[in-house]
Amino acid sequence: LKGSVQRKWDINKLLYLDNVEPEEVVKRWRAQIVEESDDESDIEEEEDDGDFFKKRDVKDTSKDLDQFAPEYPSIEELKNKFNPADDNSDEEYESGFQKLKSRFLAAPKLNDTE
Amino acid sequence: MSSSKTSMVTFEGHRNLRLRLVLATLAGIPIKISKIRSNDMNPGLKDYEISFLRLLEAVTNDSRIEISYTGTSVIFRPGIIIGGQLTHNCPVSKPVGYFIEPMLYLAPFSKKKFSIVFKGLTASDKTRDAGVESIKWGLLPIMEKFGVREVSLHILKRGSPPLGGGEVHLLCNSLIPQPITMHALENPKISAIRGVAYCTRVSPSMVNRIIDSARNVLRPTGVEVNITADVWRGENSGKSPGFGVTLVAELKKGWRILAEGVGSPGSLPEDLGERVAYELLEELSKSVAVGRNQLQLCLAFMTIGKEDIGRLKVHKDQIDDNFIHILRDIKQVFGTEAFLKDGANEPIPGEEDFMTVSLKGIGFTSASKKIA
Repeated sequence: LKGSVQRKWDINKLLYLDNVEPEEVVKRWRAQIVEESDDESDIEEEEDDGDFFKKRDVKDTSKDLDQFAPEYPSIEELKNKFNPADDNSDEEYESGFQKLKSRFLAAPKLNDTE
Repeated sequence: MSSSKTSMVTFEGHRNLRLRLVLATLAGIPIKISKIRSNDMNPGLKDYEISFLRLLEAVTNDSRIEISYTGTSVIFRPGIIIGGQLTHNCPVSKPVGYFIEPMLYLAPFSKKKFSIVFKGLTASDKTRDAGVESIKWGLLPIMEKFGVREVSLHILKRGSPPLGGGEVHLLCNSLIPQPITMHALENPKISAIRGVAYCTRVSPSMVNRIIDSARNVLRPTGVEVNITADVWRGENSGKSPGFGVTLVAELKKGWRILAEGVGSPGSLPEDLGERVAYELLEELSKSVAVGRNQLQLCLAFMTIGKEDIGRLKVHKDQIDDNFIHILRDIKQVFGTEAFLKDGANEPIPGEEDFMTVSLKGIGFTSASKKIA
């Protein structure tokens, strides 16, 4: 159904399907909305002469696909996730540490001023 | 498995090249990898991949490598893993961790003990490959869980980018027929955070600045934070100035989760310490007993274990495209499939964020034991 990939899939059914790319498996399993492309339209868009010589449908292969460390969000995003907000309310701090703090054996109280 | 031993496994692209080659070596089946960067401006294998193939050839007996004229396809017919004493000069495009990491998959199943000296960069700011401390504190404890206990990694010289000049000695005294079956189903508590901040050919104050900034970020965790300063001077400090940090969260029952970073030219040590500390928190928030960078080794050892089902609890955020690529590669080489059980279906509260990976071992036996 167009634009309605809201159905949540069983990952075990998708895991080894050769015709579904791993990136797509993760999207479907997480029930993320997949935007349908407008490939069905018959009208060809006008193209610049410069675009004629450009390679199409070429995947970026320069990326290192054999790396050890995962990719992390930017430092700003991480700071927002794990730091208290400036307005003296520690809601964001709470959300970032909410699940994590229970894992530390000596979790501190959030309102500790020390 | 008897029929698959004669056939060739084929892959396309340069993804997980080392893993695919190592799995094929363990399985003893020939492998063909084609379309390696075939659409790239610089097609074919890179210098470090060629170097890795040469290393693989050196630690095995009677392996044959065929590389096409353009370098975009390679056929590898693995021989028996023999190990032994050797020195490998790594190109400066990759740190030594790139070469050491796959050797950990082979070393315990070798005919002779592995004793390899790797020369080159001990860390790199350009790539996201494993640093020496990451392997020592992150991967060796995982191997211990599978019954591989006597593996050590010694830094003889540190070598920072761009020129390197480092030396690292990998020693594996533990030769086992197969890994033991592992069941990691609990969510272990974090008892302490440790780490090492190092520098070569720069002022020792750099490491103190890294340590201070990392400690500031990690202080609210409330656990003991102990980061060691490791300053290298003179001949043993390689050819270039540099600094870096590795932070490790110690979990109960011997599990470790880590993050690491290397300073780039012109970057501040404070920024590095802060960034790596936040990355460790991020990794902890997305992990159970094993971090994302340890999953590959864990899944590979579960696969080549005894003919029993091993189980590993993972966070749902750990299930990404890379995780699926690893499982598909394992299936293609060994024919075994993983099953994921959703924690949301469990009656226990708080399990919604987790899944359990069940993987049946293939009953692998090391080549040396087969001959004996």
